Amino acid sequence: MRNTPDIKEFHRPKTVTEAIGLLSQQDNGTVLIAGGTDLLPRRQSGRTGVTKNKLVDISGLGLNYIRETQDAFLIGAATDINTLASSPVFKTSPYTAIIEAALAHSTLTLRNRATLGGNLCNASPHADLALPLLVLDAVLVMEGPHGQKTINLDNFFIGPHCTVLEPSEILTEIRIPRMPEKSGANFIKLTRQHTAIDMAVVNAATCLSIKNGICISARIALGSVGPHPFRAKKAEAFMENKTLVKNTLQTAALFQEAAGLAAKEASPIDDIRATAAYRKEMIPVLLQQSLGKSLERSLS
Amino acid sequence: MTEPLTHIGKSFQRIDGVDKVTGRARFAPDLRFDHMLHAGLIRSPHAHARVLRIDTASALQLPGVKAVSTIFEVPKVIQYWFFLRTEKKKKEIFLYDDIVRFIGDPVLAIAAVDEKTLEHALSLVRVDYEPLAAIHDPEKALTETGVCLHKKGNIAFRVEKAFGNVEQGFKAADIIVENTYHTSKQKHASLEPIATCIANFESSGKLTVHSSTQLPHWSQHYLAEIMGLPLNRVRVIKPFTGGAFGGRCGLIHGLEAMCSVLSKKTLRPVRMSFSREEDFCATESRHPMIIRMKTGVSRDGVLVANEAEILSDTGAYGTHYIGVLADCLSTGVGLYAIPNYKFSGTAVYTNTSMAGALRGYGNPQMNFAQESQMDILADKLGMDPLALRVKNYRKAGEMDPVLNERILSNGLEECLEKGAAASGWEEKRSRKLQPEFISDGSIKKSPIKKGIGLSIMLHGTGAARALPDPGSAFLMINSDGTVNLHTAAADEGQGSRTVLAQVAAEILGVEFESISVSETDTDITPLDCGTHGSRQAYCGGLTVRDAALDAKKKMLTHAGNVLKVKPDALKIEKGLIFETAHPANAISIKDLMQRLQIQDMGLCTQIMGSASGIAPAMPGYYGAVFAEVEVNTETGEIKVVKLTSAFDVGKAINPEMVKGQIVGGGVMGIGFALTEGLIRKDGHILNPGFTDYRLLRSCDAPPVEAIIVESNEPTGPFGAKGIGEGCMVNVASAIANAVFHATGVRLTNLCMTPEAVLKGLKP
Amino acid sequence: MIPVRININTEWREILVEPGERLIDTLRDRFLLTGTKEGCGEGQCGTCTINFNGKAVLSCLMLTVQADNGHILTIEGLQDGLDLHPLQTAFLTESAVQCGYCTPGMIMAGHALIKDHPEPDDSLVKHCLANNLCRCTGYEKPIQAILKAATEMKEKSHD
Repeated sequence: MRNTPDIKEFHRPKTVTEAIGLLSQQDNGTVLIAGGTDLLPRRQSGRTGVTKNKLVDISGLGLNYIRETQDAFLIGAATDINTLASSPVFKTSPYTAIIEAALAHSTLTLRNRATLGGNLCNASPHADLALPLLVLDAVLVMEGPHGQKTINLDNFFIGPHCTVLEPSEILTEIRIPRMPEKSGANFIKLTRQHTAIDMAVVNAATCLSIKNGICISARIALGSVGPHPFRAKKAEAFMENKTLVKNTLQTAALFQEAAGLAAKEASPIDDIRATAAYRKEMIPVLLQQSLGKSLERSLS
Repeated sequence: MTEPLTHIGKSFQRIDGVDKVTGRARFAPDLRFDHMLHAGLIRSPHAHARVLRIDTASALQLPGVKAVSTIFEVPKVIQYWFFLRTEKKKKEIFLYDDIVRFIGDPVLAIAAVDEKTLEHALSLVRVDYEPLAAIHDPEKALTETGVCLHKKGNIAFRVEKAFGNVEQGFKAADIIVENTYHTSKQKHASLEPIATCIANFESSGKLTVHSSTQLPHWSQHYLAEIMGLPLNRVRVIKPFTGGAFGGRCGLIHGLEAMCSVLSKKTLRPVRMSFSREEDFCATESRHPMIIRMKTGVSRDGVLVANEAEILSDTGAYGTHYIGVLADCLSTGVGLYAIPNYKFSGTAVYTNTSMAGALRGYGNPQMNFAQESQMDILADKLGMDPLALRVKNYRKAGEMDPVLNERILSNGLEECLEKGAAASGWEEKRSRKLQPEFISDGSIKKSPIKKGIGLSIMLHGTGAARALPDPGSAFLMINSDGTVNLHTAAADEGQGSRTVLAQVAAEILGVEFESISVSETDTDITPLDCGTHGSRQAYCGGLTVRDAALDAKKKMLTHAGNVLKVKPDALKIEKGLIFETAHPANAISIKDLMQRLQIQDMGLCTQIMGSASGIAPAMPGYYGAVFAEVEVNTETGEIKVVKLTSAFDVGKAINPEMVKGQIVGGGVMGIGFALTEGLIRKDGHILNPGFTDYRLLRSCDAPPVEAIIVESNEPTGPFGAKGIGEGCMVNVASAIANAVFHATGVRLTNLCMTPEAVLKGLKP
Repeated sequence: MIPVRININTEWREILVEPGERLIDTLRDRFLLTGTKEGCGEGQCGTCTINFNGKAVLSCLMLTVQADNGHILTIEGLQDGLDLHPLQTAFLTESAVQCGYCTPGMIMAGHALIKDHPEPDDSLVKHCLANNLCRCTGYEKPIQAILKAATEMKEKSHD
């Protein structure tokens, strides 16, 4: 049985305004499509993943770009993940964490179609790209019938596959502010398979900004261990103003404590990939490694 | 044979390779026929239920819906060709009843003009069920007397067999170890999903079925019975097949039978094609087993007693439960010369998809237990695991007590020697097991621990002693000297067509390119048991060898007349027949055939050679696998760094293809060890897709060094025996033994998870 | 129905499709290009890999309407008359083919890779094939085949 997607309409707007118009007119059976890699797989229920039957294609809206301004990087929401992974713009610390996450996302073939906006809007608990963007304080630009608004990525997710985005709104751009000079970030992912196509058991990102040997800002984000990717803010607060010296027992102890705090902020569940207990146990393991890498990168 | 071989031992490119790399090869899902209807199944949502009523009225009213067939009129085909032997047993193959026994069990099929109409029609069907209590746990199947899956009860089969006296054997043992092992429900996961079929019943009363089966002739027999047709009115054609691994042994549950009945009702070709999800949920799998094993050894490392007690979960219907347990017995008892052995096996029904044949056929489960036991014993004895094997394996010249056959070839020791050398066994085994430090001077110890482990295996070639296992072939010499070989030795992708063409070319003394091999089609290819039990190079090879010898004899008789010498004074090389003593006295096969078939109007005869029968033996083939692992003691991850797999195949007819089997089997074996297995809850399969049923991918698969050992099996064609299954059999045990070497953690459950490693590491 | 114009194996085709028609079905059912296989329908197995505008994509995860005005290359478009493409030859000579069901997808993944990276290394080819499952023969031989084809194609382009 083939179970072809049950799609009644397919719209190809030319502008964002036209797209918003389409979304506003339609009932809630309408959904945006960019690459389609999350939307079209035949799901294990036997039916296709498409539950809404009117599609609005945003691939023709000119949202595929990466630009640099004085104080930020701007990424169009429909930018495919391979473009992101190969962008020269993110070759310097701490932005390399974006490339790490992009390369850990699915496969070379899928990344030709999968988009950054799609990865965020699908709001999977293990969305890889959400993690470096959370620790880099990314801001999302959304457009709707009442104009444009911006929101911190940290406030975007509200549950599994659930965001603050209104049905008539479109995520158009992701902005990454420039970080202080001595900042280092890292993305890390634990899977059952080496291949990135496997969904994470735990994934995480960290970012440390250092001034005169002191941590002036720490960001720790976790995935796959809660209803959505989130920042472990108690652990972040713990790290701030701490003196960090790489490869020392003192710093290792600080990382260990922060990682333990972060684990307490997580609420993993049992699923077919791993048990909640294993996930909880892995959080400190991953975070200690990640914080070590971030510190190292902030100093180089 | 003292003559140098021209075609055996050479890696010819596969005969159907160009079709495959150009996309021209037509697999069952690629076939299209005029006026073809599309069929699909309604499957049971209950793990166990009685079907009370099927209402298809509104579906049938839908324009474009052509026919319905239900389990009330179409039998479930259970059991296997072993049961074709007697009329009484034969009846047990076909089960007509109103009970569904697993989630996904077919209830009815609908045929419609297109897939869209079909889907709509299926959504209009109403089935009323009376849910029944279900059994999901094989141990409960033994104790839960209130729930009965089949008339005969929940026990499908029980076998007990004893050799020597096991009680006394254990009394004489200095060390005894006893453990219980659990193995998973692995899937074949061939890249072409199981299954697609097109059945075409014509008004003339002939049924033609295109289906990717491993056993075309047995499928033909089953279908003839179901449809009440004589065998000459049932034609089974096997198109290109995208891998099988045992998953296509006979008819597929709910597929060909339903399609044939629908086609008879509509007199149109009917196609049914399972999705990957249906493949995972409703076709056969490996038998999950619980194996309790107790093994005793003397202080000097001589095995004295072994006891194996197996509980095998055959699922909702029994297909291969007898054979799979029989293979556990024959491979378990056959591998080591243990004087006292007690074997007991029980196969039970549970309300899950049925288990069946899967590469290794019980052996990977049994081997996991047996070879883990051996490793534990070696450790307790303080003995090199390799030496313990060499001391105890059953050598050539000894009797195999199960098959009651003398072992004529066994290259196991050479496998161990070559594998040990290539893997660096001695050096890596003696390596200090302390964790290494990260080189950059960091204070942290590396969490990675390295280890190497080995295991050995025996697997039978073919099934000559166990089952009706015929092979047949004929070949025709054309008037230009080329050859058409007809055989139903189904090529599932392993390359048997190529290998059999090499055998024919070798015997006939013609070029490889002169041989073409027919499609597998029961109308034109003679009776063959098909592809199972690693048998085609051996059984198929013997049959083709004999058919070619038959043709050769006939050719030489005619050539002798022409060249005025006795046939045994002649030889054939590169298509030229000549007198051995006077090579100038010669005639090419082409000229000879031209004379026979066209020029001499008084003769006009085509030379054909044929052979049919069963193989003279069921020789064991052997192998040693060395697995190197890295275990992350923080995350519990097991990474296989390299496999070294040395296998005794008797003689490699096509070495590259043998290596292809060994490498592919190695990768599948790692999957069995680490990542594969259907995850079940209350009869639901939770991972019916490649997202969560993980096959190894290009980034996961380590290098596999394939080593061919040739022990020259006297009964085999040019010394050949099997390889197809064995190369995955002992991979899991080698990995488990390597994990133990690296960490001291003994894992007894498959697949081995990181969580189990961490649990083992905790004090 | 939506009008769609697609260039398939160098020929422009104009068709009317349902919005939900998948690209794999258009290729296989309308144009009988059955070299592109379906193995899972969820983008995991890679047997349906084709080249879309020069990139490897999974045709089971694309709607035909999404391919409008695009260029598609399938395994059937690779051969030049009777001459096999170097990738096809290399898959044969390196014994990278067993059952052949995954082969067209692997070749098309390799084709897109070599276009962007004429001198790929082992690791890159490994990643390129991460979305292409093989159950018969593992991945060493297909990786070797793609590396070999890349070398040959480079030599050829220098002739």
